[in-house]
This record gives sequence, C-alpha cells and structure tokens, in this order.
Amino acid sequence: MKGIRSLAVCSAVLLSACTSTGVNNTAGRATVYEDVRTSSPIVQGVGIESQDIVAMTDRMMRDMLSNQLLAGRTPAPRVIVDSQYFTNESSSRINKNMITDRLRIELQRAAQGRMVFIGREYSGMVEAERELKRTGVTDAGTIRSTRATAGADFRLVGRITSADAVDSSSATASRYQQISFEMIDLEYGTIVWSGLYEFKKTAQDDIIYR
Amino acid sequence: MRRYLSALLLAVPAAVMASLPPSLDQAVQRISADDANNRVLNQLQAATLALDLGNRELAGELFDAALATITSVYADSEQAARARSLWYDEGAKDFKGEPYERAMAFYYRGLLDMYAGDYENARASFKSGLLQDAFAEEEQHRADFALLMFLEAWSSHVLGARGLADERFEELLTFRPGFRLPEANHRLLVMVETGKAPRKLQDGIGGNVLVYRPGRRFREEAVRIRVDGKALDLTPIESIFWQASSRGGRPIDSILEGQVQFKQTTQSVSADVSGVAAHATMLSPAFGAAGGVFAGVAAVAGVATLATSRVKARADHRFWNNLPDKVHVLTMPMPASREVQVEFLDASGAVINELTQTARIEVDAAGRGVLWARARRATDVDRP
Repeated sequence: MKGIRSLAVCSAVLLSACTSTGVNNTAGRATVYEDVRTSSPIVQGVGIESQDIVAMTDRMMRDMLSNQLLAGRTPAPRVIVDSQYFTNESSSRINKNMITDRLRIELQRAAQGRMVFIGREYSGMVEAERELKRTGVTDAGTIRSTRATAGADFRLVGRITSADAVDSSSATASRYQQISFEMIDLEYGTIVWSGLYEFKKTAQDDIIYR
Repeated sequence: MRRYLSALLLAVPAAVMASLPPSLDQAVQRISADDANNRVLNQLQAATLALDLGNRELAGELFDAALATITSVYADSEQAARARSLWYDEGAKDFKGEPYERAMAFYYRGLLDMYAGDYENARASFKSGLLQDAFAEEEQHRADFALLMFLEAWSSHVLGARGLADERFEELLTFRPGFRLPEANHRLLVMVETGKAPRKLQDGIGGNVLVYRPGRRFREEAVRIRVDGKALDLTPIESIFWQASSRGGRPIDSILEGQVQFKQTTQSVSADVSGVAAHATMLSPAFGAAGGVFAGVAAVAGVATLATSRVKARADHRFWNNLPDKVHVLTMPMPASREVQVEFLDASGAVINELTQTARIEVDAAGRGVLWARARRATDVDRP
C-alpha cells in the first residue's frame, strides 16, 4: 500500500521536475580566454580551428628551418610568404591569411636572419613612397636608397583540400583536411621544400538535428 | 562560445542600426527580442532581408552568426536533450533548420563571397551546403542540390580550376541533363529567385508529423532578361520546395511517433485506472483502511492523466519564410551594358509586368560578374 503511494508521489515529483530540466543559463557567461592550441570544449565542428592553424604553422616553420636549401644559404635567401598562391579548394571557409601570416611571422622570429622576408603584397605602398622620395615631395629617409625593390628567391605556394563523408544512417560527418605547403624557386621553378599537414575530424550531431 | 560571438556580432552594427530601413530594423530587433531558440531563424530571415535591401555587410555578419550555430555540433547538449524529451515540443530546440534551409544558408553566404570576389570561400560555402543535403533519408535525393553543385563548379570555372569545374559540371549533368554548361569565355552569372518559401505544417495526431506545402500567392514561374538588345531566358535549376519535400522521414519523426504512442498508452492507462479509482473513492469509507489502496490507485491515475496532458509530440514547423520557391540561372560573356532588365513570366509565358525590374551587374577586380535578383521583396512572405 505504502509502495503504491510512494510510487505515485515519486512519479508526480519526477514529472514536475521533468518540466524544468533546462539548463539555467539566463545569467550568461563571463568572457574567458581559451587556449588557442586546444579544442574548445563548448563548440566544436569539423572545419579548421585555431588549434589546427597553430599546430600546422608550428610544424611547417620547424620543418622549413631545418631545410638547408632554404635556411642554410649564404647570403640569406629572400622569400615571399603570403596567401597569393595559397588556394582553398576545401569545403571549409577560411581566411587564408590566418595561416600564411602566422607562418611568416613565426618563421621570421625563429629564422634570426637566416631568411629575409619580402612583403610583396605591400609593393604598391612601397612603390608609392619611393615615388614621393624620388620626386622630391619627401626627403630620402634615413636608411638608404636602392635602385630597385628586392627581388625574391623563393615563394610559398600551397593548397587546402578536403574530403567529406557523411553517414546518413547515423548522421556522422567527417572531414579529412589536407594542407600542402611548397616553396618554389622563382628563377628555376623547382620545388625546394614541401610540407604536408593533415587531420581528420568526425562529429555526430544530436538526433533532433539529423 | 559562438553564441556569445553571435551576440557580439549583433552588437557591432548597432551604430548602423539607426539608419536601417524600418522592416530591416524590425527584423534585426526580433533576433534579441524573440525566444533564444529562434535566434538562428531570425538571423537567417533578417540576413535575407538585408541582402535583398543591398546591405551586404549586415547580411554577411548575420549569415556568419547563423552558420556558426548551424555548423556547431550539438553533442551532449542539455537543450537538445530537452527537445527529445516527452514534455517539450520539438520546437523547443534551437532552430538550425532542416537540411534544405541549412543548405540555403550556405548558398547565400557563398553569394556574398562571390559579390566580394572571394570565389574560393564561395566554393567552400557551396560545398558545405551540398553536404547538408547529404543527410536526406531518401537515398535517391541525397546530395542532389543541383544549384549548389552548379555554383561550386561555376566558382572553379571563374577561378580557372578547369579540372575541378569539369568534374562538378559532369556530376551536375546527371541531375540536370541538357543543362547548358558555361563556355570558357563566360564571366557573368545571372541568378534570379522566384516564388515564396516552402511552408512546414504540422499534420497527424496532435501535429506530430511534419509536412511541406509550396508557398502561396505567387504566379511567376520563369525568368527572362534583356541586355544589350537581346532577350535571354534563364534556366530553372532548383526548386527549393522539391528540396524540402523530397528529403524523406527524419530520425526525430520516430521520437515524435514514440511520444504519440506513449501519450495514447498513458491515455488508456489513465482511463482504465481512473475507472477503478472512481469506484474506490465511493467504496473506501466502507472498506476502512483498505480504502487507502484505492486512494493510491487514484493518485496513479492522476499522474497518468497528468502525464498524458503534458506529453508534447508536435513537430517543429518553424520555417525560413523568405526563401524563394525556385532559383534560375544563366551564364554569359560580360555584356557591354551593366544594366539588365529582369522580367518574370507566369506558367503561360506571359510577362507579369508589375514584377519587372532593372538590376545591375557587379563586376569584381578580376572581371567576374554577378547579377542576383528576386521577384519579390524578402518581406513578402507566407505566415505558417
């Protein structure tokens, strides 16, 4: 008898509890800094995320610096590292400059003069300033005057590609992402260095979204 | 985190908001004023309106914010678990849209990328959109979103990636045999939308079944443009209603069906036990202490009735209301004129004069052009 009564009461309590199981997030959440080298615990997808960019550029930088054809020359070779010839053929929308900017900056910091970097994407700005100096609108500056701007020895090229797979029965989506980096000899056309970064991510959304 | 980013993104255009047209201002306001689980729906609708009104910056921000949620994976989410439970409608979940709606969000994102001359990211958007369609239950309709297939191929075409373009165009022909592929010198894409969004309706017992119906009150079926003294017909490449309605059953439908069965079972249990309890209430004084048993039975019956009344099994019929019914495309070499007259034709081929409009071709620094137009304003929508 008591059992039935308890069951009924418990059921009623359980039932009322069920109506308020939503997470109380009305208070919001204060801003927190997250480690760019680790996956966010809050939101994850199958695209390229911060930890992928950091890991791939770190690895490519180390690899390039250990290559004697690139980093062991005297005088130091001039290289262009920008996104001009870095193409995105994948299904991930990305600002390619995030990859090439980090790679160039980290390379420059670690190379310690073993490579000289050319800002070719700013050549218009440089030419405009040179014109002002040479026409006498401004003085010649304090460093030096050169007959021409620097020509480059090598240029970074690369490609982002992906292969996606969806298992429609379980709605599991997976993306294999491959990012290739190559350094091209701008006189001879040969590839003096290559690097590849690849990863695969798989995720399954909640059944209510399949 | 992306939810907070979305909130930030909404805060950014605040300074611009003062100058927004009233309809757009209202649509943007609705994002924060409406229930949080409608945020993505309101973002998509406001973004479409912003795009229609030519405010591409705001449209881009809103589509980005919506896509951040659409592409995030809801795993072990309390909120998603709640939507699965017996006590909430499916509509209690955060709106991420059905596959056709998610695919269209990527379509518009890609369109904005094309306008910006960023064809690589446009291609990435179209590819992602196509993947959303891979979730269809009906195998023959899986990843058959010809519009996105075409746009992916077109992006590769103007980027000079011949191999990638050919591969996709070839696949497109299996879905749209006879489609006239772009020629090597084609640099202009004309894309025109007609009709109104497919509607979602609740059907079945207590509204547990989701059904689709075409948009109402429009009659434009075909598109023709006039440029440089020539009249050119566009090819209808995609029916959004077809994409919506050909998906087949959803996994969530089984859950809703189960909820309906639970409701029916508890209803009959409740009726049976209530009958016993009614007798028990009358008899309990006569049976003294034994009457307590019957009181317990009455309580169980009450719980069952309560459970029955609280079970929610209604399908989520929220829909992106300013999508089109069809999308029509045409590619061509860049014409001399940048002004194009767009005409809309009804099923009999007669021009609907009140819809005729003039649109402008936008050309990027690399000489690639886009002309996008829609027959109706993004405020001309059907209500559920």
